[in-house]
Parts: sequence; structure tokens; C-alpha cells
Amino acid sequence: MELILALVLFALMIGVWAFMPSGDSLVAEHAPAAMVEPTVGQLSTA
Amino acid sequence: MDAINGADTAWVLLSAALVMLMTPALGLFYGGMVRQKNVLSTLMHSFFMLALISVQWVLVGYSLAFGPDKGGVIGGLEWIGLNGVGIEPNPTYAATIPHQAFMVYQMMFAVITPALISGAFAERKRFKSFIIFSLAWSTLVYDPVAHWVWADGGWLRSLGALDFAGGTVVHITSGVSALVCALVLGRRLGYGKEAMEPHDTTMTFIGTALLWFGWFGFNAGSALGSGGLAVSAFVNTNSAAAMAALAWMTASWLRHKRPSIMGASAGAVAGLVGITPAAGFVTPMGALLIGFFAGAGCFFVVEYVVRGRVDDALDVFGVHGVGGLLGALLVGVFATKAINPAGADGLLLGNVKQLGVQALTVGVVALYSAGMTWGILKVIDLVVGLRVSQDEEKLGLDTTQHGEVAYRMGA
Repeated sequence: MELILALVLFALMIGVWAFMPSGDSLVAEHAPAAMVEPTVGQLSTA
Repeated sequence: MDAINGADTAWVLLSAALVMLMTPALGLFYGGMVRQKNVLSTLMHSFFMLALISVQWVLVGYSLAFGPDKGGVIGGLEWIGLNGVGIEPNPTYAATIPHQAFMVYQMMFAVITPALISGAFAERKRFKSFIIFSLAWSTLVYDPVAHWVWADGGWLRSLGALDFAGGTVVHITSGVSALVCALVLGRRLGYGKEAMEPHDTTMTFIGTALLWFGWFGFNAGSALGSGGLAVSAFVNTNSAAAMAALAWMTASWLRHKRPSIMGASAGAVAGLVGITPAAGFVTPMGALLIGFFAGAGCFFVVEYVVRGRVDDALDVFGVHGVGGLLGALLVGVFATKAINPAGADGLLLGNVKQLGVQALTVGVVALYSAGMTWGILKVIDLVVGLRVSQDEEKLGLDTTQHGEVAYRMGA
């Protein structure tokens, strides 16, 4: 039973990591504005 | 006279050295988390314990903790100044190593325990008050509790309480006392209004790595020999630390949207705390589960219960108090005599009573630690005061308490 529970918890954590945002999503938050390239949407709006 | 075993003696001495390293490592772990103006003060809080409690232990502490029992509550004074504590083994505690090897190994536990508390009052406690508090706390809290749980004749040990390496004696005492310290001293100036970010995450990471390394001595050394039980405790220690690091990091990633190294570090320490009482009593699968619950449980308490309400500056209660409590209870669930015939079976093997004994131990030790700590702090506050002045706190403890500056950029 302990083995099964440990396996389930480990698999659940791997599942969480797989669906969490990657580092790319943090770039806009931390990089200076000049380093962030405008998206297609922003360009078309401009 | 019992025969001294060379391998056992070497392992226990090496373990004592490993545990010794944990105290300055704790200084690094805490030191990275405080602001730049308080890093030396925080390092000093740990390092100074190595000197202060080493002397206290040799003079009187060891005798109070492990000396001939007086009513199950305290050791006698027969062994003060290490009188009668020589190189011959004491079969009551460890039959194959010199009595002094056991004594010095236990000394390192006594050293690190009050140092753990220092994280709760970081950045605002007067150094003089810190010295008095630590000396009084070690003598009035650590030594008696160590006697209750570990010493021959101690009343909790006689009841059957399991604490392989100090989940109760070290982590519950220090964690609960830390919460009381944080409440009595009050919040740091600006707490909740200004950012109090860790000034050096790299320093905290180095501290974590050294703590993990030293913890092999803490837990595997508690086998007091170099055989299979030490190996079992070693494997369990690493397994729990790893699982807890993953659990805390995962929870932190979910909440804060980033997998921080600070979270992974805190999680590893929570797992090490959680497995401490259980290291020599559970299987590696039990260790993984204890690690998971310690990592996730401590994260939950730190994030949702303590933070914002109490200024436990470096999360001592959340990690050591809660981790110790969880570990002490879970050993009553996962323990098995198949790993350690000198231990007991836990709840999963049908022994409900063991969980009850563990709960009683946790409750009694937590209440005693909280009450005594509150009393000691109140007396010190009346006599010499606990906190630095507001001006000193703004300037930082490195300058005002120690006359030193950590970083001289461009000097």
C-alpha cells in the first residue's frame, strides 16, 4: 500500500509539472521592456 | 568491561563531526534569508551556539540530560564536568563505543537545537538577550526533554515513545519555542508593509546542501553503530528529503507559478526534519510518504497559517515545529519492527497504541516548551530587555550589535 501511494503521489507531481507554465511565461514579467519583442497581436493593434 | 568496536566508534565520531557542521550550515541557510544588514548577526546566532552550548554541555548539560535518573524527569548531577564519563562504554546508551563518544555526539544535538530557534527572532533581538535566553533554554527545556525521551529512566521513553534522532527533542522543542519567541518579540519594523526579501539565495542553497550532508550524521549516526540500522536510516533520510523537496516545490509552483530554489531548499529541510524521528523505524516507502507529507504540510502551514499573522522571520515553526510534529505522529503510523526490532509496530500494522503514545509525547513536549519559553522570555524582558531599539533595528544588527559589515563593495 505504501508503494502504491508513493507512486501515485510521484505521478501526480509529475503531472503538475507538465501542466505548469514554463520559464518563457516569466520573461515578460522580469525582462526590461526593450527586451520583450511585441507579439503579432500588439503589432497589428499598433 | 564491554568491548569497544572500532568501526562503531569511527562512525559515531564522524557523525558527531557531521552534525557539528550543521550548525554553521544553519547559519548560512538562515543568513541568506535575512536582509543584508543582518547577515552577520544571523551567522553569529548559529556559530555562537557551538561555543556556548559546548561548554554548557560539558559542565552540566550532559549530566542533566543523560545522568542517573531522578524520578523520570531529570538527570542527576553525578556526571557534571564529565565526572565518570570516560572512554569505557556505557552499555545503557551504547555498548560498543566509548562513553565520551556518545556524549560528544549528543553535544552536537544540544548545540544546534537553540540555534534553530534563532530564525524566529532574526533581525530584532539583542545579542545579550540572545545569550541569556539560549543558555537558560538549553538548561531548562532541552536538557529535561532530552532526558524524558532518550535517557535511561526518562518517563516518555518508559511509556514507549519513539524518537530515533530528535523529531521531538530537537525539532518540536525548537519549533514551538520559535513560535512563542515570534509572538513575544513581535513583528519586525515594517513587516507586511515593506519587502523583506532574502538577500542571498545562493547562501541559503549552500546552507541547505550542507545541512542535507550533515543530516546523514544526525540520523544515521543515531544508530550509534556502523551496521544495517545506520544504512537504513541513511537511505530513509535521503529519500524523505528528496520527496519533500519535490512536494514543497510543486506546491510552491502551483501557488506562485514558479519553481523556486528557495522552495526546493525549504522543502528539503522540511523532509529532513520529518524523517528525523522515524529514520530508524520505517521502510524507504514509509520515508517517501513522510517526506511528501512533511514537504506539503509544512508549505501549507507556512503559506496559509503563519505568514502574514506571525513574524516567524525564517519559518522555524512552519518547518521545524510542524515537520517535527508530523514526523513524530507519522512514525506511529509507519513504524515496523522489521526495520528495527528495538522499536515498535505502528498503526498500519495494527498497533493503535503507538500512535497514542506519539500524540501524548508531542502534546506534552509542545506545551512544556511553549510554557517554559514564554517564562524565560518574560523574565529576560524584565531584566535586560529583548529587542533592540527602533534605531538599531533600522540600522541593522550587524553594525549595532557586532560592529561589523558583511559586504564592503568596492572597498
